[in-house]
Amino acid sequence: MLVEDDTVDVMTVKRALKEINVTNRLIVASDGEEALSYLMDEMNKRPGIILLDLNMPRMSGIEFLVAAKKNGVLKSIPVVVLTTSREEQDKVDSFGLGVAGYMVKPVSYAQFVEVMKTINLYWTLSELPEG
Amino acid sequence: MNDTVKRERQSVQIREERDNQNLIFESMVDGVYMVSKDHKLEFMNRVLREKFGDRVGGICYETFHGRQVPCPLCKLSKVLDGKTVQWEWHSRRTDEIYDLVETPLTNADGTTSKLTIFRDITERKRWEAEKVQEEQLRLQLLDELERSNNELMDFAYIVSHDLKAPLRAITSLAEWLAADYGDKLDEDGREQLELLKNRTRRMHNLIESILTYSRIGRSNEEKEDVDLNTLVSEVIALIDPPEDITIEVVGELPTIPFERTRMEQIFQNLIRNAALYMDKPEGLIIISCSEDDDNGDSNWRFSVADNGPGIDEKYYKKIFQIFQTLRPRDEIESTGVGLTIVRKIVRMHGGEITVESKLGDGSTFHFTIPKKGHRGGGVS
Repeated sequence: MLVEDDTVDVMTVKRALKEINVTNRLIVASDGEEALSYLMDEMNKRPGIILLDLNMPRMSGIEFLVAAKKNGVLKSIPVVVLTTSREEQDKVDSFGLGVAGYMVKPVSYAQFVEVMKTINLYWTLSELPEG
Repeated sequence: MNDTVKRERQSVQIREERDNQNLIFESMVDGVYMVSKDHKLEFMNRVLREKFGDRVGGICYETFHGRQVPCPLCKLSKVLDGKTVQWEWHSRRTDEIYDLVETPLTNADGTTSKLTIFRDITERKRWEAEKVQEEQLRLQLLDELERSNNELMDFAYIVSHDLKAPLRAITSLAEWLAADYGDKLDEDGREQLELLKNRTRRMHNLIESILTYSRIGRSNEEKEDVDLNTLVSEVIALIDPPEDITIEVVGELPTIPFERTRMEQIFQNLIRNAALYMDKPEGLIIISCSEDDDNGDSNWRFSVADNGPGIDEKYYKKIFQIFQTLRPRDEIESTGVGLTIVRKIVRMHGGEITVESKLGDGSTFHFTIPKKGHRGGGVS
């Protein structure tokens, strides 16, 4: 699942995933509220991993993490923050809310593909609890 | 009998002393008067006589203050108890400020009088108040200047940071257009796309250089002993100049306490510029350092000299201004921020940078770093 408001950034992720042959279905939510309501609906399929932007309208990434944690909807779903922010406070807040990783979006697309490769490799190898 | 003689002698002595005192009081510029225990004026010096007339025998509060009853702040009883009082009195009526010294005096007949010396300190007080006000104003202005400088820095930082996101998107889109549709475009279309990619790179460089520039004032890197011989050779290796450019370091460079990254930025920008604009088949860049003790404050004086195209004297000022370049950016890719960054770092350390050049023959950049060190930061 990708939580991201910028269309081009969504395109970037989709393109990069295609380039590294990741064919898993990608659910896109354009802000925290949309992501939260998707996850709260038991009918929906649970994503294997969430890529989360921080700067978004309505409900920011950090606010989403707070709300999701309170509702327990993130149980056993790793969240990787994918943002432009290098602010120390954002990193501290994110890890304080239990994210599995924090990636700064690189400027060039080629480097972005590398970041996605790394994320893919790690979460393909890492074992997650059932459920 | 003996006692009476003694007392008589004592009173003669007191009278003589009093006459001498009065003589001194006459010549003073401060007002002096003496009153008895019942507020009767026994003496007024010349200054007070000129102001109020000779009113010896009159009542002090009537004479000086036009009052019917003793003044509320009257110190007479305190002084008659044997105490000397010094106090400041602000006359609301005349808006004058006096410094008063009131002290007991023993008379020949054994009684005690009060001696008062009036000093007009209105002028001094006013001057002091003005000084305090001026100082407060100065501090306030400095404060405002520093705040607005910081705000400007923060603004530059935030704006450039926010510009990066849309720029990244434009860069990606241009790359994808070229990758996905490059073969569908004709020669002109591909050229335009190349220019688009080139300009996004340029904008990226501009944003990064603004961020670098505004970061100089923000970050607090610690000073350390920097061996400039090592630092300069590292910088040269990083720049990786073309084979036809020789870079020489003359003699030993010193080790100085400085922020390492800042010192790297200084040499990186100066040497890179010299290499970038080099127009001679055998390029030469010479780095040297001397000590100068001209005006008592001793400085390190560094030079980076090249045999490149040189700079016309009319541009000596312009080259240090932000975003100023002397050649079209399509010929030589440059943001025009490098020398501005160098100057800012040098000035923050209390030094100065100058250029000396002959058109066609080359340029030399000199910069000084005070040996004593400089607290840095502040208003530049």
